[in-house]
Amino acid sequence: MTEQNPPISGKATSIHQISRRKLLKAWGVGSVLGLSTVLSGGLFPGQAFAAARTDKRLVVIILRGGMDGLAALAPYGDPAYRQTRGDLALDQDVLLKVDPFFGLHPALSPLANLYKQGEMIALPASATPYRNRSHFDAQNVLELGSDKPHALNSGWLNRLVGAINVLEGNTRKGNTRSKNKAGSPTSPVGELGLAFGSGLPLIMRGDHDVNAWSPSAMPDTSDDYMSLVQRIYGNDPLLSENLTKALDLQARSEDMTGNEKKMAKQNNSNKSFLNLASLAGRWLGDPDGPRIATLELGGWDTHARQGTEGGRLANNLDILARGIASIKQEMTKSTDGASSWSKTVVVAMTEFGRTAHPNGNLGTDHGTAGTAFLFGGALKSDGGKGRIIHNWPGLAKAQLYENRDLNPTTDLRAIMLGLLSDHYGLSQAVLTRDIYPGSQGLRPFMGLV
Amino acid sequence: MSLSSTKEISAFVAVQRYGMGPARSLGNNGSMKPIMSDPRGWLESQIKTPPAFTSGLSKQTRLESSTNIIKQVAGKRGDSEAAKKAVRSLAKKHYLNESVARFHQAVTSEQPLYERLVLFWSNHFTVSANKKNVIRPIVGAYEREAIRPHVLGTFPEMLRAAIQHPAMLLYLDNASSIGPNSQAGKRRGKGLNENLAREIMELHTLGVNGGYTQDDVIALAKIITGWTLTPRRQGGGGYSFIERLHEPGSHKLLGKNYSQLGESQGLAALDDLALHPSTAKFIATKLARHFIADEPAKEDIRTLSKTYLASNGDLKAMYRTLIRMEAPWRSPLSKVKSPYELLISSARLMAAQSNDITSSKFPFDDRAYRRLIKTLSTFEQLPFSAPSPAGWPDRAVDWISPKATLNRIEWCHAFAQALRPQVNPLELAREAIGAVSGPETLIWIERAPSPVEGLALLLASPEWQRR
Repeated sequence: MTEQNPPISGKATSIHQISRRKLLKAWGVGSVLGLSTVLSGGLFPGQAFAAARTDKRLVVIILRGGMDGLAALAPYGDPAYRQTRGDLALDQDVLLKVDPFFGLHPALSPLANLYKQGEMIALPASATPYRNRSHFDAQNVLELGSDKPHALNSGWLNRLVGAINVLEGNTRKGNTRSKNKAGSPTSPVGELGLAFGSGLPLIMRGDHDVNAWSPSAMPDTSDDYMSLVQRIYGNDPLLSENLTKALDLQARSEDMTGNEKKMAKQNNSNKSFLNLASLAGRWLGDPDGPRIATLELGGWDTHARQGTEGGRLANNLDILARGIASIKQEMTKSTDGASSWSKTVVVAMTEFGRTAHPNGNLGTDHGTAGTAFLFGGALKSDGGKGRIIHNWPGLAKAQLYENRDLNPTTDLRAIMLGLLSDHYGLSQAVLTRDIYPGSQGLRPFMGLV
Repeated sequence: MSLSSTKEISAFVAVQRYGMGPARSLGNNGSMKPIMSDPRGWLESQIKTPPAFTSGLSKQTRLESSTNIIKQVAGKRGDSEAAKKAVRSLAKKHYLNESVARFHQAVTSEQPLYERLVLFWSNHFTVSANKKNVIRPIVGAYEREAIRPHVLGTFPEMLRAAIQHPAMLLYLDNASSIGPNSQAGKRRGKGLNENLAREIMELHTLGVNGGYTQDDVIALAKIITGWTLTPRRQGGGGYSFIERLHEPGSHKLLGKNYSQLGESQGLAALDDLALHPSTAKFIATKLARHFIADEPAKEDIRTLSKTYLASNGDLKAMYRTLIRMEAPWRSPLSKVKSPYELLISSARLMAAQSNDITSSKFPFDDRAYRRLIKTLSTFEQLPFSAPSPAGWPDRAVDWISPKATLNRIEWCHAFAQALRPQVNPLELAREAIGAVSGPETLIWIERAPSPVEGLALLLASPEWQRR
C-alpha cells in the first residue's frame, strides 16, 4: 500500500493546479460573494487550514452495524465466557492475550502492537444511553451525542469544532482572520473538521463549517466548464456552496496526492477504507491539515455465521486494524513527523454491541454494551503498555442485561467527557452544555490522555 | 424570476417530480406541450394498469425467476475454488442483466410515474445485493416478483409478498430462524433470529417510534418462524412454511394474542401491522417526503394518512391523493434528484432525441448501460445495493456534499462528451427546463464554448439536478 502512495515531498504545484487556483479567484469570488452569509468559513476554507490553532488531532471511526465487542476483545478470564459464547468462543491459544482477563481477536494483531507501545486503551462494556436495538436510532444517538434519538439537530463532532474555535479565539487574541459578523454561530478560524468519505456523516453535520472528501474516479473536465457551472449555481446556495468547497479541496488534494485518481479506482469498500485511512493519516500529519476527522466502516451487522478466528467478522476486524495502523504510519512519515501522532487520539466506536449468546445461526443479534477503543500517541500508558478500563459486569446469565446482552456499565459519553476535557482543555460546563447535553450526572473519565 | 405560465410549471412538475424526466411520446427536445392541458390526467392515466416489463434488451439478457436462479446457484455450489468462481460469475451475470433491464425499463417507459413508484417501494422493502453473495443474483427477480405486481394493489398485499419472498427471508436471516420449542429447535438446540421481525416493525410498517417493544420483536420473530426457503430435497428455490421450525403456541404482539396455527398466525400479524395507524403515518410520511419536500408539512402527512386508513392501504387511492393535493405542485424544485434519478432522467432526455427507437443503439447499447451502472458505483448508489435495510435516504442533505456535487458535475460533462448528440443545447434547455429556469442558466448555456459543454451545463444546472 505504501508503495502505491509515496509520501508527499514538499509542495510541488502542477500547472493544472495553479490554473485551478487562479480560476477560483477569477470566477469563484464573483459568483460566490452573494452567498457570503451562507458560506461560513470564508471564501477559501482551505487557506484557513494554515491559520494558527490547536495542534491536537482527533479521529473518530464510526463502526456501523453494531460491532461484536465480545469478539473484538474477548473476556476469556470470565468464568462464564465459554458457556455464554458457545460456538463463538475463541480458543485461548489464538487470542492475543494482552491482559490476564481480556484477549484481542487474532485479526487485531496490528492493534496489539499499539497496545504494547502504550498507544491503545480498550473500554469494554460501554454504550451510549440508548437502550433499544434499532441501528438507525442507535447511530443517531451515537452521532448526535444526545440521550435519546432525534433530540438534537447537529452532530457532537460538529459542535466540538465550534467549541474548539471559540476556545482558540479566546486564547489567541492575535488571530483576527474572522470574516464573520459579530454573533454569527460560525467558525472564526476556518475548517478544522474533515470527513473522509464522499458525504458528511451525521456526527459532522451542523452549523460549523466542516467538509467531506474522498478521491475522485471521474474524468477531469475543462476549467471553462467548471467556471460556467459556478455561474449558473448563483441562485442555488446548496449546490453553489458545495461546489466551492469541493474545488478548494480538490486543489489541496492535488497538492498532496498526485496519484489520487489511481487510488480512487480501487473502489471497493474494504480497500476504500484502507485508502481513506492512509489519506487521513497523511492530511492529519500536515501542519496545515485538518484536526478533526471521521472515517466510517460498515459490515458489522453479523446476524449469521460471523465466524471465530476466521470468517466474516475476522475479515472486517483485519481491515479495521490495518486502517488504524496506516493512520499512524502515514502520520509519522509526514512533514510534521512523530510529533503530530503524539498529539493524536483515534476513537473507534459503534452504535451498540451484540447479544452475548450466539443466535440460531452462529451469529449475534442486536445487543446493548459493546467495546470502544482509543488509539494514539497522546494516550497515557500504563508503564509503557496499553490499558483496559472497565467495570466488568460479567457474562453469566443473571449478569446480562435483559438476560441477553452485555450489561452497559460505562457510558460512552463519560469517556468522551474526560477525553475531550483533557485533550482540549474544554471545561465540563462547556462539554455538558454544548457537546453532550443531558450528561451532567456522569463522572468523566479523566486521565486517558 | 421565471416568466413561465402556471401550465408550463405544472407540466414540468408532472414530468420531473412525479415522472422520471421527459417521455419520448411527448415529442422531441423533451417538449412538455402535449400534457400542458392536463398534467394530472396524464399522471392518473399511468396508474390504471401495470406496464409490461419488457423491452428491447439484447438476446443474451434473459431474466429468470428467483426460484430458478436459487436452484442454479445451489447446483454450482461447492468448496473448490472453481465452484466458488462459478457461483460468483453466475451472481454477477444475473445482477448485471437485472440492473440493465431495470435501467432500460425506466429510460424507455411511457408510465414513468409507475417506474418511480417501483423504485420507491423496492427501496421501502430493501433487499440489498451488498449483504451476501446469495442475495446478489436474485435482487432483480425480487423486485419483479414481490414489488412490481403490487404497486397498484394494496399495502397489506405488498407487505406479505415482500416478507415471504426468498430474497427477503435470506437478506434478513429469517430463513434460518428456528423456534426454540419447535421440533427442530428442541432437537438441534438452535434458536431465533430476530432480524426480520425487528425490521418489519421498524422499517416496513410501524416505524421506529410506532409503539413496539423488545418483547414485541421476540413475539413477532416467533410468529414468523418456519417462514423459510423450500428445502432442496423438495425442489428448492421457493418460499415454504415449515411446521417443524415453527414456534408452537399463542404469542402476544402489541397486546393482542395470536393463537392461529402455522403460517396463518404470521399472516394475521402482518395484516394487523399493515393497517396499524402508526403504519399509516409512517407510509404517509415517506411518500410525502418523496413527492413533496424533504421535510413535508404535518397537514400533508395527515391528508395522506387519512387516505391510507380510509382505504385500508389501497395504494392507488394514495397515489390519487398525491396527484390531486396542492403541495407537490407549489414548489417545483424542492427535491434534489438522487444519483440514480439523475442518470435515468438524463438518459430519458437523450432518448427523446433519438429517431430510431428499435436500433440496438437506442439510446445506448448494453455496454453503455453497463458503463452507466459503473458510474453509479462512483456515486455510491449501485442498483439494488442500498447500504442497509433502511434503503437509500431521500433528502438532499444525504446526497449533496462537496464531493458528490463535483462528481455530479463531472459526470454531466463526461456523459455529454460520450454522447456528442446533434442537438442545439439552448433549444433543448428551453423545452426541458425553460418552465422553471431564470434567464441566467439559459444565457450561459447559449454562451457555452461548444455544444458538448452547453449540453453538460444543461444537465449540471440546478433546474436539472433538482426535481
